[in-house]
Amino acid sequence: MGNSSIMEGLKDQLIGQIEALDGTTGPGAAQQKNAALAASRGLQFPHAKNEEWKYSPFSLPKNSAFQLLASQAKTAFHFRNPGLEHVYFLVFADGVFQAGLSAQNIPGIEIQKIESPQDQSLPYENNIFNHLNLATAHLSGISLKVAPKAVVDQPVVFLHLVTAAENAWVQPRIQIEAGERSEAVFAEMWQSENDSLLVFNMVTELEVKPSARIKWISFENLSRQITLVNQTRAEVREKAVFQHVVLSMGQGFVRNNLEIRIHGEAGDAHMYGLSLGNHKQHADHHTFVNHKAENTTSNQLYKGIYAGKSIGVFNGKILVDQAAQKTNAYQSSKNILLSADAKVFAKPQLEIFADDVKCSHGATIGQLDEEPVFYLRSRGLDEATAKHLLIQAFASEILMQIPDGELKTLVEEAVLSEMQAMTAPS
Amino acid sequence: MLKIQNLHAKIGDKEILKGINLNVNPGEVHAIMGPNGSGKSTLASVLAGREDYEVTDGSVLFRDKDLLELSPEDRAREGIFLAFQYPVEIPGVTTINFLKTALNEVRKYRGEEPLDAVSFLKRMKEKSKLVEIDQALLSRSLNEGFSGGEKKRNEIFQMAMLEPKLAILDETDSGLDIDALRIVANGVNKLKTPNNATIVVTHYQRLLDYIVPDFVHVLWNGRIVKSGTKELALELEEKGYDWVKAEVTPA
Repeated sequence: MGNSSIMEGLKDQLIGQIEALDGTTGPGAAQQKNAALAASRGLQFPHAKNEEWKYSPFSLPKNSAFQLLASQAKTAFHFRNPGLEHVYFLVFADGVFQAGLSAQNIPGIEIQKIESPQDQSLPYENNIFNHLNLATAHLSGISLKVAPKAVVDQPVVFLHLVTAAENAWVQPRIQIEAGERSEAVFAEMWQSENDSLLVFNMVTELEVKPSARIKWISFENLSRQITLVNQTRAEVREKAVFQHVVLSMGQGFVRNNLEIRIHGEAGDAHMYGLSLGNHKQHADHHTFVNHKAENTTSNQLYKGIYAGKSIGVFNGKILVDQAAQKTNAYQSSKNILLSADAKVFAKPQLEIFADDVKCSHGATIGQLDEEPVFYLRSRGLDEATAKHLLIQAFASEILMQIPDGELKTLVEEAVLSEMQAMTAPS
Repeated sequence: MLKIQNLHAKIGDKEILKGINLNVNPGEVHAIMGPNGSGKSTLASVLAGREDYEVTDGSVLFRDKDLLELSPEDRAREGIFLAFQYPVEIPGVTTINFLKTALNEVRKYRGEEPLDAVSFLKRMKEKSKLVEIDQALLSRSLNEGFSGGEKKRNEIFQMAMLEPKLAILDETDSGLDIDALRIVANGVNKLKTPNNATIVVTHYQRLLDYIVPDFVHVLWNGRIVKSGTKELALELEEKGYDWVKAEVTPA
């Protein structure tokens, strides 16, 4: 049985399970579910012949059945607090938001179930993951509203936990509306309790209202059995600032689709990524930035360090509409290969329809320079320490984008220990 | 302290050192001079352990140990210091940051306790005065955006911190104006003790006005072809290298 028929089988399995789920609360939701399922039937899981997925074909081991988890409201879950005391946790367990395990009151934020997702931001890419996710949005989704002018005093952390013993497929959906002039920091992280295979099919949609300042930190420190398809869309309005920082590490498979549209004048988007590849990890960053208004700025810096047999992908597309004069758009991808078996694919794309813009893009792929290594060794540092120091320095430009506090400490410690593993003499 | 015998080294297929003999004793300053391409920097690099070069023959003993068997870091820990001709820029790594690690690695190798933060800072203050380097520079990314003079002063500052037994200054005068040259040379002179030694590799005599050598050696075509005292350097300055070449080339 070829991979494509395995994946067709999986699709049928998932669609059947979604059809059987209860809990559609109104005719709107039912209609939405049916439309999303119909769209899913007409699509395939992306394979290597699909241009946008050619370096990251979506495949799962054959004969693996998946249980779609979307309706179990459970109370007996425990999550391991990774050492964050001053954050608001919002916990999703087995794909479902667990109000009982989550922060009860977040000043300035109102949380609701998604009754009927308006799906205002049509994705750039019409992929099956979007439609499957949409089909369970009424069960697996929550919607957050940050009140205008609210300054949320602690980071809000989405913790995605799976405890199921069988192979599980979960698809949380998060919608956030950040009111005018509000400020907040959001983060997301993942935990699994056992060795079964897990697929996270995540969709996050952000509406960043005028003059709001929103930071998002995606801490993808995944264990080996996790496959994460993480799609994030942000609509950035006038004078708003949206900053997205993604850390991809651990051992799983991750595909990030980050799509940002800057609709309002003087809107800013800052996008940073750090991938630490080791073993057979696969980290794919696809970005799409659409400048739709004048005087808008986007800045992308994605760095990767790859050891073992890991694979890194960066595909960044910038689209500047004709109306978006005086746009500044920068994009850079810098990669270091620490092993002969690691691979990086980098592809920048620019499409510019305005004539008064400043755009730049570039990608570098190379080994760690020998000269700085020798320099540090000649001062008494052993080779592993020298390399460790150099890749730490390389990564620091991304890590410094995370706001100071426990979250930053948590990420930095994980990054440091991962780097130690990557540079340890073999 | 350092005994080099019949040292041959090549890079790729190109033989560059063709039988170097040199003895350096504690307390001595040796100048190695020679025209471009004579092998001066190669000698400095081979002593520091740069892996681009392959030693094909000969031996180097440093304080009775086989230097060629040691990794670059162990050579540093044994007390060899190379001041680079072109110090590298390392974004994201500050001088203080790596030097603290380096110093404690060296101390560990010698069986000494690591320096605590207070003692390290005190030492840093003291030594940065010695080479007249602005302490603010030491908290910045290593050599990034430094002027030529600042880079070379940073090299001598590191030397002061690490207190090597044998310092090798590779064309430390290149790219320096006369004030920077004086400051760098002053630093080197103040670090001189009866127990340590210095090898000054240079093309020009002018550095030797400030760092006065006990011995001057002329390197040409991979060999030391002439040795003398500081007067030899003055003679080279006056006459150039051609007369030495003529002297050693059979007619």
